[in-house]
Amino acid sequence: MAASAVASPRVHDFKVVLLGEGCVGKTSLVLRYVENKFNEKHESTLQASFLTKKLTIGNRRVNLSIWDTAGQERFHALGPIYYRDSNGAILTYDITDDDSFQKVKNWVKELKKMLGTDIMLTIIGNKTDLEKQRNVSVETAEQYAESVGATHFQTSAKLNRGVEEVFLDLSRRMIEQADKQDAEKRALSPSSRSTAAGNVVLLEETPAAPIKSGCC
Amino acid sequence: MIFGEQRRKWRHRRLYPGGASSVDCLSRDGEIKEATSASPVDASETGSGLTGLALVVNDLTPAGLRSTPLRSSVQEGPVKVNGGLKSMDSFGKYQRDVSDAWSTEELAEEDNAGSSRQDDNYGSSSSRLPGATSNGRVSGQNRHYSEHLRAKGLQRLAMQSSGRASLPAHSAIASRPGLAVRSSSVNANDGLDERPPSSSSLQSLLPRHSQKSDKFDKVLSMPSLDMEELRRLSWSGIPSQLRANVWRLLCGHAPPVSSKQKLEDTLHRKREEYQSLVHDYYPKRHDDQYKDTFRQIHIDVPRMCPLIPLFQQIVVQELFERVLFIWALRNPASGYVQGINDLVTPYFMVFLRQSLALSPEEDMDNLQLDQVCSSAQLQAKLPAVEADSFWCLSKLLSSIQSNYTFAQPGIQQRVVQLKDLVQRVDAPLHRHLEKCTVEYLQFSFRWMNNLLIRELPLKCIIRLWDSYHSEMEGFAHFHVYVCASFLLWWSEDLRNQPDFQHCLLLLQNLPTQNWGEDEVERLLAKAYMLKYSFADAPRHLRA
Ligand SMILES: Nc1nc2c(ncn2[C@@H]2O[C@H](COP(=O)(O)OP(=O)(O)OP(=O)(O)O)[C@@H](O)[C@H]2O)c(=O)[nH]1
Ligand SMILES: [Mg+2]
Repeated sequence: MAASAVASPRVHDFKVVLLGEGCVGKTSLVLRYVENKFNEKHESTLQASFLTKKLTIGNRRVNLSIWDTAGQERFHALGPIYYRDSNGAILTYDITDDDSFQKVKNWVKELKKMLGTDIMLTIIGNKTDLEKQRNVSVETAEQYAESVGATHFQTSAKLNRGVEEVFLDLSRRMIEQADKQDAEKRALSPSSRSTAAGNVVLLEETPAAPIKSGCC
Repeated sequence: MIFGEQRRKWRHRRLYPGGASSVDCLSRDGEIKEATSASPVDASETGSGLTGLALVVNDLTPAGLRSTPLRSSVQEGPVKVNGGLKSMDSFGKYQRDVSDAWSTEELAEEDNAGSSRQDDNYGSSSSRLPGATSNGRVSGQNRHYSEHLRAKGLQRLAMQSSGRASLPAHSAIASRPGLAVRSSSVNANDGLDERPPSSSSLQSLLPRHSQKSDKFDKVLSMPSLDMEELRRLSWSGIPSQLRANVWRLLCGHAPPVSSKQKLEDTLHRKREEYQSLVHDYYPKRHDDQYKDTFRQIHIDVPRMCPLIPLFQQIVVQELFERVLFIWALRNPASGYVQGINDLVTPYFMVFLRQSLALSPEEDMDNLQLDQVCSSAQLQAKLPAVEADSFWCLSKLLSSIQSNYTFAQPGIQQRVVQLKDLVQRVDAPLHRHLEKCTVEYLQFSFRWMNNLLIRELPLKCIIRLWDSYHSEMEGFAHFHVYVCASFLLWWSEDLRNQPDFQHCLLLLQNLPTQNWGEDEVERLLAKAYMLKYSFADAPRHLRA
């Protein structure tokens, strides 16, 4: 089993969407993650922009397609185009701005309503370098995240704190979810199919299990 | 990685846009009525020939604003999106579905009351451009057809030049809805149609500066201005030193008179009017009702053109903030939408260049305002630049208002038009994009929302706007052909991209940083050709 996994690592293509109020730092986070750069000044995002990133987790290769969306309400109606088949969503607020945290809650409601539980949610409090101006307490945010089944992280795109972890954690959870969905599919697949065939598939896929808790 | 590289290049060539114009107090009152086979003479912005519902925008003066509202109606043909853009079909539904999740803050939008109705209008009716049904069924015939179009277009360009060879396409154009040229052509002999090139070949699109200036001077010095002629000349590029004056005229900001005195009086009055608007309404930016609008403007303006020192200067940023805030306040139907800030830039740059009497060669990017003139001089000069930018922006925006109202129906409609057009004139490209599951909305939304300002260097945009200003519906309608021409430009590159990712990364970062007038004029020539050839399309391709 393990041998076969090493021979042909599985490749996952995941879609991730970033949502959140304007100016909370969505673009800064992605640019930090994808290009390891930070600009004090760059343009506001219009509608959405697309980026990609490849990473490897254990024996899995992951290709992330990332949609960085615009924060302004007016573009909100375009949201579904970007989140509709997403595997993961990163909902960002600015820790100095409570309104932006409220917006996150709205996005969560919308995503749950439109996509159910298929999508993995990560909530990020960005701009931790501005700790002194904090307006959203960590406990509040964590509690809320837990209550909606999301993971909560704190980041500073500026100082490159916590950014990598966000995408790693999300990727892991998307892998787990993909495995789970595969397993469900198999379980549901018509029993008319020969059990032998089903087993073969299962065998191939079994190595999926060990990745779940990594390091970092 | 590729992206990084492209992105970097991209940053080096930020463009600044500008320019819209609008009308006073346009707002959505959400009155919906049956479009009475909308007359094509109507100056409404798009698709008046489309059947279905049209939205009539009535004046709605925001609390406390007292300006005399101009009546203006925007008729939007509803858009039914086909195949690839499935999601758009259901914007209305979507909005209803999710509205409860957002119920608290949407209220901040002044135009909330009208939105659901417009939304219904948008979502519930369907209409397609004629001919759009050829969807996906593109035959080998089409390649020949493109060639044919091209030849025809060139022929036409040549014909144009030799005086008044009028276009047989007129009637067809006028009677055809949708993509067909509506602008000036509604009036078969209004002469605007001959606007483009002035002599006998594509070559003639290239400016011949001194000669050209003479022609402009002649027109501008006639006792009563021949606007037709001015448009015709301007279409192929306005000499830099005359541009500010001509833009003001073409926008309708300056009166069409050649009397210097009259001109100055009018401009002076309008500038004062703007100053008093600022005086009365700018303080409202901190009011509960407007603080969200101002916040958005205030976070966007400093992020404009991050690499250009001129835009990092506080005086400039504050000027933009005032222009945008006053515009937003007077246009509650759309309010401030990101991207509108970009539209101010071309006007600002053109008017500033004139005001500071900079030579055409002077690079404005690195201009330090406090170094080129004293602060007293600046204080004397900037208000006029600001006011003119405001009025011209207002004019421009009134012609594309539906781009910025709820769910941005104007943009969606134009994206569909673009798609239909490309499908017909470059079937291989269209098929490739479909194969890669690239949706037109994904890349061309920004082209429409920002009028290509984020795609081309500013000097190109300014040249492009010479032509847009000379078209009757340059920003609303001709722009779609320019976008098509722009997309076709990259046809081969795009077809060489293997998949969605590569296509999109390319489309988001098209390498235009070295573009100059030549490229823009080729772009325009092709757009012009498309516009006319398209209207002339053989019947079998329309159905
Ligand atoms: N201090 C600090 N500033 C940050 C951080 N991340 C982003 N910013 C700044 O916040 C501003 C907005 O960042 P963007 O990345 O453009 O925000 P956005 O969420 O993409 O905004 P929209 O595109 O308008 O939706 C920029 O000026 C950034 O430099 C951070 O971690 N710390
Ligand atoms: Mg952004």
